[in-house]
Amino acid sequence: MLRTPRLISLLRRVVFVAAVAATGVAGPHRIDAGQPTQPAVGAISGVVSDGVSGRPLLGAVVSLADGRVKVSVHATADSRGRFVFMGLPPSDGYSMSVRRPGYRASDLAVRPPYVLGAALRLRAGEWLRDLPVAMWPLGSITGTVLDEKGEPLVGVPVRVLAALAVAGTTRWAAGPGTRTDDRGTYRIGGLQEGAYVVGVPAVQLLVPASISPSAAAGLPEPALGSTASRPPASGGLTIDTPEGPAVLVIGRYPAPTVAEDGSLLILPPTFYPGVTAFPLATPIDLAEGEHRRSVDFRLQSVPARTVSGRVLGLGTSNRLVARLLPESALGLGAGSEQATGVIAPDGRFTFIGVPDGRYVIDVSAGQSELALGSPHLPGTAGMVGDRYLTFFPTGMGDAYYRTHYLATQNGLVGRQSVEVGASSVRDVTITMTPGAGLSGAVVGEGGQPVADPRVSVEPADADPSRGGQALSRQAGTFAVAGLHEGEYWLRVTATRLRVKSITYRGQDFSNRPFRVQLGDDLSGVQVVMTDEYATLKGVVSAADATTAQVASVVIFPAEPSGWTRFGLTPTRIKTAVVLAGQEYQFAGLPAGDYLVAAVDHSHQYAWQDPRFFPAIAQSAARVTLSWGGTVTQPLSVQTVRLK
Amino acid sequence: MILCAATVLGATLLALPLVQPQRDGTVPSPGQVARISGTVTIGIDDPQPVRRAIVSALGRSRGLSFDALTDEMGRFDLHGLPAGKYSVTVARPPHVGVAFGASRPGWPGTPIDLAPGEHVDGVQLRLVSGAVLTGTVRDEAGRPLPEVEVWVERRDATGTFARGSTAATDADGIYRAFGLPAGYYRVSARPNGSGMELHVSSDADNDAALRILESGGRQWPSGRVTSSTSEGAGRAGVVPVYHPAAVLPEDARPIILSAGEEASGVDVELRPRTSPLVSGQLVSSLPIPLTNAFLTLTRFGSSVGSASARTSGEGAFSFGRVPPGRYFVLGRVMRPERLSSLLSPGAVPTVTSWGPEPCGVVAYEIELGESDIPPLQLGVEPCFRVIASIENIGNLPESDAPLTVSLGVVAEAGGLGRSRVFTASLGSPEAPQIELAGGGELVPGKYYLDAVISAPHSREWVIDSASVDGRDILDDAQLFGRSAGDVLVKVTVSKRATLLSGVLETGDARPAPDYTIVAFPAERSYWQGTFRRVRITRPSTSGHFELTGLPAGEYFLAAVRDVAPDEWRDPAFLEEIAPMALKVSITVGSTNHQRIRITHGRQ
Repeated sequence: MLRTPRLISLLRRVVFVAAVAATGVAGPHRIDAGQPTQPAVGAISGVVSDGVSGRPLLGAVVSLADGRVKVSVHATADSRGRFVFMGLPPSDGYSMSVRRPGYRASDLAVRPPYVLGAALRLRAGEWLRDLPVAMWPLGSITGTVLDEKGEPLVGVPVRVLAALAVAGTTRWAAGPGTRTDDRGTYRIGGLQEGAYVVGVPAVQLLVPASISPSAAAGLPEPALGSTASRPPASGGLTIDTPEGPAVLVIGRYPAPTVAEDGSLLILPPTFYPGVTAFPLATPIDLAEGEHRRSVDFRLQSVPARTVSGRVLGLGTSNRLVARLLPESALGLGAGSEQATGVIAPDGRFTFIGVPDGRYVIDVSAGQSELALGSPHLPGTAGMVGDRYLTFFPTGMGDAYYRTHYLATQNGLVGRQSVEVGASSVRDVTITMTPGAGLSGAVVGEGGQPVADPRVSVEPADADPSRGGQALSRQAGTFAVAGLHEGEYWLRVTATRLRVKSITYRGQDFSNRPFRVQLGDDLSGVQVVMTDEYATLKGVVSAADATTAQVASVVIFPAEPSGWTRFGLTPTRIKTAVVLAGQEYQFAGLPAGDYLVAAVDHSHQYAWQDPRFFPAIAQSAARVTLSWGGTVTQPLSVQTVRLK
Repeated sequence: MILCAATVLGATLLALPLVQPQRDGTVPSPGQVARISGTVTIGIDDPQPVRRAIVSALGRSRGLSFDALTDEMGRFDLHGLPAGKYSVTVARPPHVGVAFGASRPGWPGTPIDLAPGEHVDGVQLRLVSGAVLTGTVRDEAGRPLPEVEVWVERRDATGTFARGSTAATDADGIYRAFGLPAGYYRVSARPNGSGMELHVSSDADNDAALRILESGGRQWPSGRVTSSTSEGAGRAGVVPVYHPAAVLPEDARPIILSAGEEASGVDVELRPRTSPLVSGQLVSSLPIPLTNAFLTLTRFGSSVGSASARTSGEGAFSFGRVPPGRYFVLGRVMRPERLSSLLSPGAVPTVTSWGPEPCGVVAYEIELGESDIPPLQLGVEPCFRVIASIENIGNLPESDAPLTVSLGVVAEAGGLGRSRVFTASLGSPEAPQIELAGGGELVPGKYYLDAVISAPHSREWVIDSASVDGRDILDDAQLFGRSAGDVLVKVTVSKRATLLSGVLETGDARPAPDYTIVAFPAERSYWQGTFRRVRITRPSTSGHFELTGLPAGEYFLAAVRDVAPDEWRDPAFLEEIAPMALKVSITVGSTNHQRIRITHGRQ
């Protein structure tokens, strides 16, 4: 049985940094030139090492940049892991990142200019020395995939789902994947420490013969990386189904086999160590830099049954897709389906290749998932083609919540449970009903409409089964539709403006989510934006030489109700990485009561873990921020122990 | 009935007899669907059945595609096919499929003629073992490098290398590319951060730097930021490297693979290389802001850019460190209207829409050695538009499908601008003229027009002419740009498509489907450019062949065995087969039927 995924233990890093400090290696500190005739330039130096073994990392590429003073340089670390940059103009905004193949980018990696307070500040004539840059080795999982006869399955997809702490809970996010090679061998690399479930997706994609097979081109698939070469597209296998002839798309997933009697046997989606139900999978706990081998699969063909029926009340959707998911896989995203089928214009659908079990048929315009890794900046969100993405940082690196729109959004949703036994299931009826919707206006404090606001909704518990982030907007108004029941945060951003209040029927929803049911239509929501926001700043000091020298400052709501179910991009939780002795700053905060604390930088994203805020609340400083005001709060780095 | 002599030449490298599929003798009824069945095997001496192979039949006339899977005995059954001609192929990774009737993988096969209700059985399809390339990517100290992308490129009949597959190295630095057809390959490793100017620091460099800092100094005497102590030393570029350790692709060690061969030890040593820094400034007398212009550096003979750069406020740009060689610098300068909102770390916003005029283009050729070059000063020229007007001679078709014309502008020399395909539908009076290219999409240079009539009207309709200032640009590239003003192309179409068809027979009057028909113009000046007057086709199982839409003129018609893909684009090949070819005359709108018997062969 799949146990609750173990949260990542970060204690090792705290011990490492403390041990380094205790052995006399001076932590990062500043040296002033002291001579009035010295040039007004400074220097930055440090050491790059393997965070697990401690050995220096020769050849790591250290990049230092600040566009404002026209510095952009890249240098390699020497055999002792050292790097030195001299002749640097003074600036508040240097960013440094370190890269080495096989390693996660450095913990001092910062992304200008959007992560507040994370830049390196260098004063005139200063030498910022001995910066400790730890790089964490990435691990991998390898194995082989064979069929029931022991023959390698070539070119089939294999991917991982990673345990991810998000919105104060733990969910399974789509991780990297690949395809097997000529020996049936796969290797999924670039993995951080964590818990992973390895699976071989096997989705039966069916398109009615009356529709062009190119309709299958829009069906969502798991991301397998650019080097996992895709098998060439083919026309598909013509199948006779109860609803008429249809085409089974083959080539993307393990191909079926043909039995003696001409019937099809399919290879179902399988999770390591060889189960077809996700809750029965055995997760792999990967240590930092571990390369786990022999995670092998032996897939077994099963008879293919069909599930067919009709969707009523489709409305004006085009090219809608029905997804058949095992009950336990709802919300796991693309590639977790047992089968998908394009719905015919008359609403008829068919799924083939369905083994025994309990399933949910989902017919919605949007299909959402959580996924690891992204090239975009955390905190940004937007539409890219037919997908809406919200990026956010996590302890596993950057992640995103993605909603893939399979058809025109008309606000209708449809879900139906079905149980499959020894024979095919026919005449399943799914009636589309209106999802929940929110609509209203976005104005400034003077009542004028805000041009081009960016509006989205986020499920409070980050559960992708809640569905889409459907939205439309026109000149200062917005409308969101097609939501499943649950709690949602309304997020609005605009250039140089922040949300001051979100009002609906006299109640404020800027600090709490909307709770909606199917069919709810919450119109008249008023969002007021302001350009006056609160600022909090202060200096972080290390208590003594054994305390961490690189800290993460975290600010969060004072009320405990704000410590969980805060969605993907909470406006009242922020972090910043600073060196001991430097100043942190948070700008753009809403007014309110907050707690703020400085912890070892390895806990930078631990706020997604529900144990974190209770653990640091008692020793955090309490501050009250007002609109347009600035508060100064010094902090000293504290140790965190997550039970 | 005209019987003509044609001579066969060419070497048959795989001497496999073409087994004629058997017909079941059923009298076809109109409206009935047809079947193709057979087996898939692998191995020549002791063929073994292959299960789970995907057999595909692609209809030649309507583009319909049907698949079937092989069972445990390697048998397949494609049913429900409308009557027509079908190309039949097979896929089963990691093996390489050979199309039905082809002599080797990747070569065109023999279409199967299907009458309504007919069942063609006994179709034998072969798989050939795929080859494997594997090796290790290491740094200069011999340490394996994980997560490095490796490109495997295969050389085609024209000598051009095209990327066949990519692979990534594992934790041990090992990559593996599989399922490769036999051929001539080169392998390169592509590190992250290609183009980046990298200062490679030594222990001695950093020792010296720290001594300066400890003594109170804060900079090198030279004022440099990084730890390189001598001018030019240690300054390198992160560049792709070819097996075993070559920066230039022409210095790569080739690997020749046979079918099913596994070549191991194809290692690459990846290290930053001393390479010149390419940077400079745009200058322009046009009223165009020089900010945010997008420039590419494309290696001569390649279609893929090696590096790209965006200009800063005064038009300054830098491509970083680039391997030596001959390049084009290409780009366009326009006023950006909207920038993207989603940004990658450190990235410059991408332009999602451009303003109208003014607009400028940059097109230059440079030669790079290993030393740094002075900053380039590149002038910006005005953009030009290519506008086509299409006229038709004759009545438009009555069917539901509109007559569509696909037009593309093709550069004469590789890398000098892009080709854009534009599809225009006739009979739409609101679009009498179509802009094929504009806003700096093309840089000044010589271009052909590539024009085809889209199905289903391609059998009857043809492009008669396309001209600029009265000069034809279908066969003769025309210089575009280098002067202000638009390029106006006049395209005429008519319902006068030619048809050249026939039957190819052996000496004893049996169909000869395992040859390739090559039709090419007698006029040698047409053996270049888009080669639009050169066509090849394989006769079907009944020996029938068809070529539609050849422009009027005198042609050679040859029957050849084993024509490699794109070999017909080689004038030397055409010259070799010309003396042995049949001569035919094609006039506008003509229908020409030839019955050709092969009388003798030559190896």
